[in-house]
Amino acid sequence: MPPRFPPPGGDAVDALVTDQYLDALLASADRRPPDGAPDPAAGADLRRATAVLRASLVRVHPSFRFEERLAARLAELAAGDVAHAVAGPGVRHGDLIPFPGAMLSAPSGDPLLAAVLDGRLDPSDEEAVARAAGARSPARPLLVGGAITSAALSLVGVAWVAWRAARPGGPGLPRAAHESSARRLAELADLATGIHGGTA
Amino acid sequence: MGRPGFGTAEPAKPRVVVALDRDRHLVEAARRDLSQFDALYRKYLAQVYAYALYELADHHAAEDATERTFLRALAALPRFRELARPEDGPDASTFRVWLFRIARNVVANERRARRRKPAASLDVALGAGFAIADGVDLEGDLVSRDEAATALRAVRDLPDDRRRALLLRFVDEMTTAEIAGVLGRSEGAVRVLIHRALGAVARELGRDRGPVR
Repeated sequence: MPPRFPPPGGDAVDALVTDQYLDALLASADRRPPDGAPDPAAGADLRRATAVLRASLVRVHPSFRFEERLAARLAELAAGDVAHAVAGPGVRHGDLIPFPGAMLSAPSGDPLLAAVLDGRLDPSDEEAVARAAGARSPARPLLVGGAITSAALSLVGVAWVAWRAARPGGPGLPRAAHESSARRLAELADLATGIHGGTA
Repeated sequence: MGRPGFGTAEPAKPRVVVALDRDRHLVEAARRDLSQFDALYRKYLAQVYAYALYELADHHAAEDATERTFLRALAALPRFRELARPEDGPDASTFRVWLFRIARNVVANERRARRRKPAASLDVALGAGFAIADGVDLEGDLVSRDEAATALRAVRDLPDDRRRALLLRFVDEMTTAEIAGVLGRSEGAVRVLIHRALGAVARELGRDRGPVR
């Protein structure tokens, strides 16, 4: 397929010029500029930004202790000591291995490693990893969930009792009780009226 | 850059792999004997760690991300397939692209989990090991600590895709084709991402210097 050139002008051409400039600059192993004058097409501001970033964004090596510790864990995983490698460095040979769910959610462990190990998860698939990580996000505390549930049930109960009390009639005993209660309320109201009327 | 495959849905193309993947021998050795993965680990440890450190601005988080990346890579290695196109060139390493796709996903998950927390300050980032020398002589100029701090702040504030592309280009010195493979974008799109990211850094540096008298 013949190379396709970007349309003249615009971001694509500028980006191509920048890319060629960076290629030339980063190709030098000692992070020094290539021989010859810098490409004037790249622009002074852009060249300055590139120079500052090259000086600032250096490659940092982790500590030797970390490097060796991770190398040991990788060796354990390679040797088939999956439980130890998955659970983290806190687990030693001869330790009791906890229930798998608890083990995989241990802070030092990787909750998705087990899925990668048995082929259920492709670690290079962005969407699959995001989905799996989301599915394993911490659940709401049960206590809070329970409290909300009981509060909701209580509110429903209050509403149901209020509705039943306000309902004018119903079959059988409830209706008789309702009528009796209404009669007593009416008598009390009459009595109160009489008392207030007597004192007035 | 052809994307590294996973699983067995599509047949592999070993003839292309032989010509293109510079890590082929190490990958094949590791596939035969997983303990040989150590060579790949030592080769790419600093690159993955540096990428995670600049993305997460925290030593411990970067170590966790690096650890998860390599453990997942080793766990998935038996199902890794190398696919590349002839135009990817002799230096193309599909293993490195695949490894950085794993690292990108690990880091993205960590960043998502952190969104509820306040962003790490630049001071934390600098203290975490962003090695800014007191004066770096480059191209005959002196890059001051202030300039470096301004540039890092500008990088930190870039949109995710521009920041990732810029870090992979500068810290890991990847080619545009490799970055395209890691980010799942076209090479043209990656060039534009980097160009715009550099423009944003240049603007911040210009603003920091103030108007020229």
